[in-house]
Amino acid sequence: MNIAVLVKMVPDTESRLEVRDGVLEESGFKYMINPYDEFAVEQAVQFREAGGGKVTLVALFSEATSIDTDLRKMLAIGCDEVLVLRQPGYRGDRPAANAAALAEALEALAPDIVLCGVQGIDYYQSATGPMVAHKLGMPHIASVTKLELVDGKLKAWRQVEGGLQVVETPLPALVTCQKDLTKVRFPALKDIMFSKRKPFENRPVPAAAGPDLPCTAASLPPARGGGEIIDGETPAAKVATLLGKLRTEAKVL
Amino acid sequence: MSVIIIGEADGSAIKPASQQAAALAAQLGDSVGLVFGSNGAASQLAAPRVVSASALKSYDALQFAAVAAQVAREAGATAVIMAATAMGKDLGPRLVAELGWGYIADALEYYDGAWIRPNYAGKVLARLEPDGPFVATLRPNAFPAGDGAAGAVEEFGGEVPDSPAMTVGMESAGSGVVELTEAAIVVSGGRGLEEAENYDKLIRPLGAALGAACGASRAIVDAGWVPHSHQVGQTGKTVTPELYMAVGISGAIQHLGGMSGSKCIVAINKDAEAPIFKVADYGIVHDLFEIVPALMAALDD
Amino acid sequence: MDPFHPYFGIEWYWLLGVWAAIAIGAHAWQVGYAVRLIRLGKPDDRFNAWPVRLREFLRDWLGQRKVVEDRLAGGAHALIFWGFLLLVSDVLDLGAGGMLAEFLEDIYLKDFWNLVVDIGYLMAGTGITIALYRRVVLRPAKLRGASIEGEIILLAIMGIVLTAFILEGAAMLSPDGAVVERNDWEPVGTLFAGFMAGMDSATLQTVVDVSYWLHMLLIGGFLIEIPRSKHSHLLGTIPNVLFQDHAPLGKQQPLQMAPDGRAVSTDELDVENLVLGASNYTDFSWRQLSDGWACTACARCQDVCPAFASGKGLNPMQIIFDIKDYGREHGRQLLAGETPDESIIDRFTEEAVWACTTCFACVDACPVHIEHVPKLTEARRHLVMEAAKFPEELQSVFENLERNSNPWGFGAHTRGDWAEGLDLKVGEPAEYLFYVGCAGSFDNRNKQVSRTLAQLMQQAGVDFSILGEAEMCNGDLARRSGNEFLFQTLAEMNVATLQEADVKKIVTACPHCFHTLGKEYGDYGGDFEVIHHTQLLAELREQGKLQVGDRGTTMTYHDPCYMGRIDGSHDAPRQALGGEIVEMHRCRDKTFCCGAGGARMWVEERADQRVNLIRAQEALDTGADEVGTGCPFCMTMLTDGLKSLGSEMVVRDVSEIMAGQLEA
Repeated sequence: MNIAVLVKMVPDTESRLEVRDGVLEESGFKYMINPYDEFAVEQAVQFREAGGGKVTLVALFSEATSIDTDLRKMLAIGCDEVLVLRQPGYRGDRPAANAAALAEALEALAPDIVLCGVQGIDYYQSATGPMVAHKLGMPHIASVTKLELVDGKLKAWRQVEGGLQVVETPLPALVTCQKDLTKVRFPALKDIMFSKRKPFENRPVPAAAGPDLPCTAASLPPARGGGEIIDGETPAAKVATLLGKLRTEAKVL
Repeated sequence: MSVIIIGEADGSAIKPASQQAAALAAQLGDSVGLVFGSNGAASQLAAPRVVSASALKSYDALQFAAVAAQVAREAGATAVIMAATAMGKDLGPRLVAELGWGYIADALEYYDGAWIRPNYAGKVLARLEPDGPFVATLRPNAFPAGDGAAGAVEEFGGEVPDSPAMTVGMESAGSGVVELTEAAIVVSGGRGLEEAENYDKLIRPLGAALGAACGASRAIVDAGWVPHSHQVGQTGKTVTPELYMAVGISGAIQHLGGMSGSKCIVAINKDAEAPIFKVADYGIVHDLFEIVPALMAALDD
Repeated sequence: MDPFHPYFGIEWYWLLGVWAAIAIGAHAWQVGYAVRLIRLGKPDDRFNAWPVRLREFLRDWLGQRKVVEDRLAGGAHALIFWGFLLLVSDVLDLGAGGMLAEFLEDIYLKDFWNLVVDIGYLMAGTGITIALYRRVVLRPAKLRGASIEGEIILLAIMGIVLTAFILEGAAMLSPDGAVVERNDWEPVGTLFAGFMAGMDSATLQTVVDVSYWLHMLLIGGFLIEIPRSKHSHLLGTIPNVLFQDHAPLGKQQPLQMAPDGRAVSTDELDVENLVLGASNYTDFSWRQLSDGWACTACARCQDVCPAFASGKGLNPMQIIFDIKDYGREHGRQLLAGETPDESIIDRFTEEAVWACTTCFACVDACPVHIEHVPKLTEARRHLVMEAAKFPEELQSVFENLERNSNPWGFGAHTRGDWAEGLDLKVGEPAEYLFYVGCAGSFDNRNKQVSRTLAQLMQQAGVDFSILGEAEMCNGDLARRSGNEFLFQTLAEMNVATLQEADVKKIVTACPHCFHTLGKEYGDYGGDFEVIHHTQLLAELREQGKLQVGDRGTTMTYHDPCYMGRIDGSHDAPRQALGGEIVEMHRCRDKTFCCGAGGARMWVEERADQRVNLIRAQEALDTGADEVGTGCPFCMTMLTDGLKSLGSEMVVRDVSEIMAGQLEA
């Protein structure tokens, strides 16, 4: 059983977000593994533990930054090898181009199952997974909260409004993982140390090309005004003001 | 230009989010609707012409993308719009890959050829200006719906490819309860509720009225009013909804750690000094036993 | 009249010899067995500082210093202990048929010796009587459920005392019961002689013989019993007290030490050969293991343990019993070099291991210098770093510490935001570095304390700077919960930052920062002079740099564990506060933990097992208007606890109370 896991490096959620002249300052970002991809790693390792095979972690990232420590943790969780595609000018908001680069590397691996997170916490487009599946000519099931592998077939519970759609598919197939698909194990320090022995390849790939739309201007949403205490004569009046603001100002209702 | 709207059926009604897509599409050009698995819903989608693929009842990425691509090419379309629902977020990218077009996911605004979408969980907004064909999914309720229904409805006559995948069933989430960590709106209750039954009397109905998941502070979980699965906070669940409403919660650091990533925080507490007001975007300093019923009454309208 | 005659045709000394051989043999074998088990432990070089150790030994072992902290039980024990030390030579004399006495007579010491022995027996007898009174009549709460073994032992040693007096008395009588050799140097013996005078010869001889053999039987029996029961402490306390811990209380050891006395840096750790924490019996040091045989089962540790008091599955005394019991139960396997299926952590139970708040009340209370807490923190190291089995809540805490150097995961770049508007020096040279800590930087309530303290220092003209964004968590929480690797990483980074900023003196408002920076960072090359803010405030008040007026409220003070007990300093906050303080029953170095230490702040507590509620109630019971404290975690726990109890009692930091009373 050949399992590939796609892992994206994303900026830490607590990073400082500064926009200058319509461009987001990205130079100070610290990167971490996309949490949704960790669910995929854990699931892949569990499949391998149950039925044998190999788990290959594939990541696409820029040339410079070192991500060894984070990826080593994934090896410690149980991946067998890591392949990092190093791309000049890599950007996380180019799903079509990124999917092309990933698919090319995956074809050589000929995986039976491809797992990845449903979305990245940077751009939340939920796009790379389905696009990779298309390039590989495989069916895909997205936003899966429960996954079973029985007799060479995947049975997936896919999250939809109000419930779950249960889908079965033969292999090969791609599944994008939703939150709490699995409980990601905490790797023991010893395993992290020994992961240094597992294969780890950094492979340069050419710069991106594709139909992705670039961001022409970035901006910060209107600042959180430090909170507004809503006034009103009566409870009903306060409530009416609140609902109005939630609808028109905050646009959350 | 020709725009395809992909609408979704919810039983025999068209989803409001699809009507929002239809209204926007009408602004962009001549719209052609496409509805899958319709049981009367297709005739409600506001587009002059609607293609109904009523045989395709269960979502399948391969099949739906193939059908949508055919409809788009046949109509000479240069844009496909749909709501960013579970289906939209799944079909959108697959269709983009099939067509090789640009992609705008979860759009919040559109004006004059420029689209605004959220990055970093809404902390940064990005402007995209497509100069070629594109697929766009729209955040539900970000755009207004129009009036109107379908002009003409025709059955889809093209080829539906076989798909190896197969839907074998549907399971409901159970009593319409929304999962806490994935909910767009969360209403949480705390010690200010005073008694266990007030959680069921006030928070759950408010949650239902808002279509929200219900959470709780640790204090009332410890007191046994609600199960631990409801706990929001350091030792409970971390939630990142669009709207977080804290009712009768003081806002100790352990709770904040679980919800400070929410896009919009509303606090209702009679204690003006409660720390929650420091992180809330909107606060009402008032007895919750008066505010919550007023809120539910207002939402009923 | 004496018992030194043949019995059933066999000379008395043959019979005694056989019994002595059995008793001493059994005793020696068992002691040897225990020693072999203890020597399975890892090395721990405490064979140094001999003059100090001998002084401590005399003070603590001979002088019973910590034993008598409990006046009644401790006093009784001291009497028994000293009494037996004085009388032990009498056993030899009796065993040798009176030859020792004859020898002493030749060197003119016999009278003195007789008196000493009598005093010894008398002290022992008095002590035993008091102890029996306490057990049988007073029946204190902590003894509820104790087995009858205690009374039996006491009666047995009372038997030794009484039979000795009988023999003494009998020696002064002639065969027909007349007092012929009255020895005023044995006053009690004389008294007994008086009781027995007039007894007929046959009865008297029987009484003497029975007394003698009962005496020897009891002593021999005792010798056999000592190594098996809690009385192993008779011998076990000797290495325990002699080799007590000279490191500051609460200081943990790094993973690996280099020859230069500093910790081996993270990059250079020999991970292949490193044993991470303890899960096997033999992972502990010999000194950790000898604790098992030093324990007297006095339960003082149990009485002061906050985890035990709140009903969690941790009893520090049981942990020590576990060391000894496990050793003896699996002795055969252990001595053969095998690893038993049951690990020592299985025996402790993981629940017990995680329940500890590292408040060190147990270690402080123990009269024989047993070190309970290190066993649990070593177990935690194994659970976290090797087994990766630990409370779920800590997983995100560890990740947050790694990524954003604070346990809550707030953006590291917002760490200095609490000081907005205060115009503080950030990253500039100054006399003091104000090390704010995570709670003081991110927790809303404690940010207020940081601001108040900063303003007080400004007012008093203290030259200080903060690190701002460059400050990272000191790592205390990682170390106490067993993630030593993470701690070491944080410590090394912090030391580098502090050294680069040329920091010499540090003031902090958090006792955990105080402890870690001041006592543990030295291993990583960070030698700083660290003071707690209450100490600085006391100094400033005394120097008149802060004019503090009277309080309008009554208050009580909660000493944080890491100051009051672990650092032993509790005068400063009271000096800083001034005025009258209504003390809680458990205060100063006997303070009761708030429950947050040992990473417990981040671990779920079941609602019926809340340590902070116990302490909050104690504060309430003083009837004071407010409770002062000097620790951000105590602040959170007490506030939470008081609110749960429905009280309006206010909790304020020392700096806030002083600020409220400032004149001008």
